[in-house]
Amino acid sequence: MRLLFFLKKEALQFLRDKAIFLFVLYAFTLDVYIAGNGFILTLKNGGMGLFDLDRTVMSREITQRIREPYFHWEEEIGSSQETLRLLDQGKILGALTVPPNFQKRLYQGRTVSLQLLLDGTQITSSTLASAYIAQITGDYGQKFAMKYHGISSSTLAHMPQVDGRTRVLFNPNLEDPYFTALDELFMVVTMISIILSATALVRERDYGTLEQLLVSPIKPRQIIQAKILFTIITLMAASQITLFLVIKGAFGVPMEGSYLLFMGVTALYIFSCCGIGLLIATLAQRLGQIGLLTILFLAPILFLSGGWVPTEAMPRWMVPLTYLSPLKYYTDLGLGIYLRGETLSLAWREILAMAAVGSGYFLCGLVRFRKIYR
Amino acid sequence: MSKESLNRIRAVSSKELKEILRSPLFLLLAHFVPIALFLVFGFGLSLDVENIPTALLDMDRTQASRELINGLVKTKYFRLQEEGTDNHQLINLLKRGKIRLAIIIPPQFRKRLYQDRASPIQVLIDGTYPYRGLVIKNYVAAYLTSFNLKLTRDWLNRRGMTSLNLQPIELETRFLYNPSLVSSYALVPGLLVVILMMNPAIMAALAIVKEKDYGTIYTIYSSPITRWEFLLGKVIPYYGLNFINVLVLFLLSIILFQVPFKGSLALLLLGSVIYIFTTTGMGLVVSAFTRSMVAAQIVTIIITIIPSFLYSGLLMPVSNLGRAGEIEAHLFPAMYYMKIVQGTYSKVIGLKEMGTNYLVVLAYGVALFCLGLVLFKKREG
Repeated sequence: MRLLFFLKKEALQFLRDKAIFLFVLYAFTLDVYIAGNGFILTLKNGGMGLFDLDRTVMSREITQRIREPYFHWEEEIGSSQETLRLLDQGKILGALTVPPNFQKRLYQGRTVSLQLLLDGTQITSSTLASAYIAQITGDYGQKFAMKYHGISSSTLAHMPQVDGRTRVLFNPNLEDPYFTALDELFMVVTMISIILSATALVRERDYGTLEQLLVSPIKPRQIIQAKILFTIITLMAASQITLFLVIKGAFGVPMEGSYLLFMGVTALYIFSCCGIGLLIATLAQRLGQIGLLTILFLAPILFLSGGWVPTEAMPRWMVPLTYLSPLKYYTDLGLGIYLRGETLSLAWREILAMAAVGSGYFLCGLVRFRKIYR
Repeated sequence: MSKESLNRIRAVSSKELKEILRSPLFLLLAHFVPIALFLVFGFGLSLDVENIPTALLDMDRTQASRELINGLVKTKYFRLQEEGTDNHQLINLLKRGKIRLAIIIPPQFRKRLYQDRASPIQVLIDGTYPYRGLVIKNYVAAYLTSFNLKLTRDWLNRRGMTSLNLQPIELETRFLYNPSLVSSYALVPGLLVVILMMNPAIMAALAIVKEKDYGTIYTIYSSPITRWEFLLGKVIPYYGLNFINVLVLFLLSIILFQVPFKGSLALLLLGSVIYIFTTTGMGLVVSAFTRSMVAAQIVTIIITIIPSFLYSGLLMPVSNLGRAGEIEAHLFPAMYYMKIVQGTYSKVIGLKEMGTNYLVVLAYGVALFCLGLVLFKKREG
């Protein structure tokens, strides 16, 4: 009963601060929508410049193959200085130079080089662009060579070839929102649950209302319970809005796994985050330090989760640290259950690991909390 | 500006500075947080898709199938993690996220290959992370192309057609500004953009709301200080502290991370000063319209962390973002400062090319300061 009253007090406090309410609502709706809609990691429509010194049928043919959805030709370039200028200004991602006598020399059976200049400050796009264009030009060259050497297509069909039948699972068209919207939801859940639980606990101390609570019949244990329970309930409700309105509604991402399992894992995860919030609350002396402390914890947690930065690409010494980020397990599990249809029988190890790490933070926080508040 | 006015600004500033200095934890965090983030991200932030955990199910077990696989896992891109026993097991490994790529070579792979016809293999790619999925797809396709080219060449050789030029078109690719495509060269300078957005904003977000929360704001309400004097006095210490952060982060980037700095230091510092003016302004506005420190900190974290990472051009160039992302990017000062950072670190371009970026960031900052002035009223309500 006391717990219920306390929950009601927390809810009223949350709802009456309009700024908090509105921005949390924003984070769970518009923010996820913008991320899903706007954050595209695959190469789409990269602007290219063309410096064609050959101007023949073949140079045109090869440049026509570099096209949507990956590329579009942004500029016809007249000189190499112009190429550099356009790259300097960031107007184009890269430029392709077709040398003079390109076609003539191919017909003489010689090898010709095309020059591709890409902006190295744009790592992801440039990596993909170089791979695509290499594939396109290599393919074109090989077809030409076969024709040139009089090897007909019927002969080609009898050559030994490995035919790689590629299937992309779980997100066959590699749609970005499948990942970005879900990952954004996971990050928002992390962010809000840590800071809500941390501020909820320090607030009473900073305003001096903790004294009142401590002399009231409610036990200190119940104060923590109520605050954490409130955070879990609020965030579970908010995630429902995101799941149904944004992820299913706006982006139509199909849920492959069990909804109940997904929500269960989410609840467990929010509990883990409250553990971190509790820890932060015990480290802060004043309310004003919560923000910086939260960033100090939050940024590595987001970063080590493997969502933005692949774990495989991290330096070796950093990989063990990723196991300390509860978000790593939640990202794996959340994406696994939602997109890959992971079942409890496949996921139980990660769930246990997440529970263990989360309880670890929680216990640390609890021990420190007891020391301070007794 | 009158002498009294200056005096009042100085008084507010020195009070604010004393408060900061007398809260050692806050001061420590103010400098420690940026450095800690810089170190964590700078060492680990890499988008390279390498060491992809791969599983293999080889039902052919011949020299040909071995050759195909060995060539693939020999590259730095793939790492053979598991040899599967059946299809079902591979799918489960993919579902659990333990592997990102599975290659299944059916029985009679070699036999089909040497009967001179296309011999199929199955390639299963985990599409959960679209960018990684796409890169893996490209790597596998490129590898198979070169493998097939070798097969073709051998086949032609056996028929006496030797030394044919099968690849008459070469592609010479050069990456400008960052020739070996080292992730850290592009990402470490970009971290300045992210860190100098979060830190000043979260610090300044407390500046006014703190006084409201503790009730000390009433002394301000009743004092002769004007609103702009108060706001300016409040933020000056935060500029100072964050300017120290700018210098420390810059030095770390060139000394510890060895990122080549090719452009003009003066231009970078000018841009940074304007940028922290603007990001401090973001905090100031939040501080002016919120009523509690809790709200101010929650709001600032929501509006700085994610946009500065996603829409600054750090992980993805802005031109490649979708419509909503592009709009968000243009609405935030981070993107413009990113252009200044990249322009000075790696591109070596001057004020002529980048001038507008400085102006946009500055205009943004001035607008925020004015908005702060409007929102901050010297009375209750």
